[in-house]
Amino acid sequence: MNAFVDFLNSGIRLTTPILFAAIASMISARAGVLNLAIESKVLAGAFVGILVAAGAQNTTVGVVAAAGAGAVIGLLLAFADRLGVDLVVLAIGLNILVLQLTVYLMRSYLGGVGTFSPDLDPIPPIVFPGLSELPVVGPLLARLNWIVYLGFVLVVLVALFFRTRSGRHLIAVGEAPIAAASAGLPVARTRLWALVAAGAIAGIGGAYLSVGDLGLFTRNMSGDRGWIGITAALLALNRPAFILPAAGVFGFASAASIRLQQIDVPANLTQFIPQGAAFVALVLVGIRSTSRDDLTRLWRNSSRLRLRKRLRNPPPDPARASSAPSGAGSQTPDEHDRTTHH
Amino acid sequence: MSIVSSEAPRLELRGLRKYFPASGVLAVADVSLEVAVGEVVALIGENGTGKTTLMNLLFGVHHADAGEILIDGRPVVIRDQQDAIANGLGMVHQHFELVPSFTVAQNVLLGREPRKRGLFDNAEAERRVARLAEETGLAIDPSRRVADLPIGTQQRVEILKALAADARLLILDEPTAVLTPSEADELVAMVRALAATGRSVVFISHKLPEVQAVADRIVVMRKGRVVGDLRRGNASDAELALLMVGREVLLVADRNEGAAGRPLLEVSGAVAPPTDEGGSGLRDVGFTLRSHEVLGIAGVSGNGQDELIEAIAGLRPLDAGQVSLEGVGLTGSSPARVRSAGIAHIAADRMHVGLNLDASLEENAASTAYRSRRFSRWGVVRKGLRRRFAERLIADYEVRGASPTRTVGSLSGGNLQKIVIGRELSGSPKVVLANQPTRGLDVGSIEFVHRALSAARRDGCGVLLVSAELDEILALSDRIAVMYNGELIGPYDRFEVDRERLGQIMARGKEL
Repeated sequence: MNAFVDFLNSGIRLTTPILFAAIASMISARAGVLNLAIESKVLAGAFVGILVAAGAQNTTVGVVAAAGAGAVIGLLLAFADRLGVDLVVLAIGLNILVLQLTVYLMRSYLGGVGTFSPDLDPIPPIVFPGLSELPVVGPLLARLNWIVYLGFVLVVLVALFFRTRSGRHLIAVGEAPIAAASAGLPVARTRLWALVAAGAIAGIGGAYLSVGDLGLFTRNMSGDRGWIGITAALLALNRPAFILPAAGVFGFASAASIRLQQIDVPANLTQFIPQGAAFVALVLVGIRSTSRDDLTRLWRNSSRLRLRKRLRNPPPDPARASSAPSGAGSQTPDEHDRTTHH
Repeated sequence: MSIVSSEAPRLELRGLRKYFPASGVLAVADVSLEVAVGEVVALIGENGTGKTTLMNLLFGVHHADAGEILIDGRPVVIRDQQDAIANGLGMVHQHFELVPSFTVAQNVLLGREPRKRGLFDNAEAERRVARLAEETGLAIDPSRRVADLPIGTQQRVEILKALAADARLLILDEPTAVLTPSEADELVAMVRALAATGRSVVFISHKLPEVQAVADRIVVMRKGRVVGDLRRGNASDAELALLMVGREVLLVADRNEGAAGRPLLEVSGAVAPPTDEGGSGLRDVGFTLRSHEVLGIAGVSGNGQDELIEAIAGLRPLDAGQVSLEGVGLTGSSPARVRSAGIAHIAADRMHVGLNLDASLEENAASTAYRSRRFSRWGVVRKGLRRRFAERLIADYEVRGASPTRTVGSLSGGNLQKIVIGRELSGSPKVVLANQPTRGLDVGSIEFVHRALSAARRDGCGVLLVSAELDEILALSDRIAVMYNGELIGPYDRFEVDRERLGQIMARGKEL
């Protein structure tokens, strides 16, 4: 019983950074960007968060700085998007860059490559008077700090946001940029805010790892949580209602893998569990044809990697959208926007 | 909106001019035009005569070099689309601008959603759209998801969107190009109803019958100028076609008489499931196509025509039945084998099936015959032959604006179709499958296609012509069959049937 409650508790804690990454990925995807830079945002958040927290001796300031670090990377993506940079290639570069930058900074200024452990207490857990003394509930809520609860609140907030006018506009921009632009919606600005918000959220997820849970930073601390977050968002079909369970699948898979190591299951087998779950999730996404189409659309929006050049005269729109709504089907080719180019 | 009886026309264009220095094209030379309140003006002309550029000037996509735009008598400056919308202009493009996962109401009110306690108020949105739909006579269910709607209804959503933005002048760009005949009839009725509410409509098209049905006035453009401005009923189709093209057009292709020859293509007992787009499949379809013959397949789109053509072309398996060419069985053959047996296929969808828009003209021209000796030796492409073939195709078929090495995506519909037809007729095929070969083309290109098909027939081909245009079927065919709900009715001899009789069969699947 006790072991099971401990398992739940560690599952929740391991879910938290994945949940933040998944929310970030979901917001980006809904705005029409395949955001593969989440890993770098999580790592940047973890690194900047602990540095600032240690410097200011205040964990909250550290978390805010982490959000800022993530937001800056988001801003960079948005800016690159406007310039027409291939976001997929840029994201891969950013992921490598941030990892190596943290290694470089640690080696040069923080005295070592492995671990940076400043004199800092991690964020204390929230204690609920009355609840924390109860037998099952107490251990279940142990070691859960405010970032964990922020994650849950954020899910609700995003779900509500998608029901506001701005949220509807974000979805329209992501799904049909030409339609959004012709309705007078600011496509580029909407994308920019979505990417900044996603960056900040992923950054907080990173801060949870360093400032929130352990009070130290290790090399490559994000440890693929950004990627797993992207997978979780895909598994949740980018819907807020499913994002928590989807992130939970991976968080609890990690918890299970740790637990199984303690009862002498070979480590190389248990460590496969989270990645195996991600693999299964991606297969599921691949089987469902509408998710596959969504993903293809995101890729088209975000990357220029093609075997061949696209149409010479893309539709005149500010957001360089790839295609008209799928429902319109095959159009008769006509003089539409072709006349003047003969 | 009530009918305003103002003196000033809703829209007046004075001496508009637009020159594209990059391509050296004077797209709009000097256009003056008036559209009165509550008037439907059809703007017709061949592809590339500046109709779309003119509308782009109105919508701020391009900016005029000279001239004035007046709305309700006031000169206006239109910098972008939002300016146009603010001035009461609404545009329905050929490519719909809808969010597929949103409902009708959510699309119509995109950008001006009603709110309740900070959240989007879906119920109110649906009420508003339902009210607007009722006012304007555009019946629709506001709660349906747009992705689930047929094309004709999606177009209605686009029109409602413009009306929700308070459009007093609606511009419809080739609105019937994507519609089935019955949807097109509905659209004509809707446009007339809108005009009755005092809204003005500019209807861009090059289909003369529907223009005659919908418009109060018909404005003809050629080479960037207005060459005709006629009240409805003052011009016959032939006169309009003459204005558009600037020369006499063969609206009826010549069918040189002569007995049909030996049997070529034989289909018997063909059964197939429906297409994904909701066709009707095939139910025990059988016929024989002879040499020196055009067999026309009439019928409303989606009654199994696509399934039939694709089954013969090897693109779709049959559940039962046989296909053979000159007695050699082709049932279940690959498209490559069907082609090498001598069956050419002019696909209905030239943008996606007939051509690869991202490939160059020469690659497209040779794409169906790479394996033949015409274009390869020992598995290596003979680029010189391919280049020469492409150059000859451009010259013979007058493909304008093309070069062998440029991608074909930038060409207009008529020129794309010329490439397809040039390729398909080049390998001296025995049978030509022509599926909607003139859909979306202007009068001049239609004439070209008709002449090419007639020439193939003269040279001994059997042509299986599928078309939703009854006039085309009647003009070209030696024998005519009708597809109805997956069954083939007929064929009849050309002289056994007329328009009325075929129309009845198309509508009911049998004669009265």
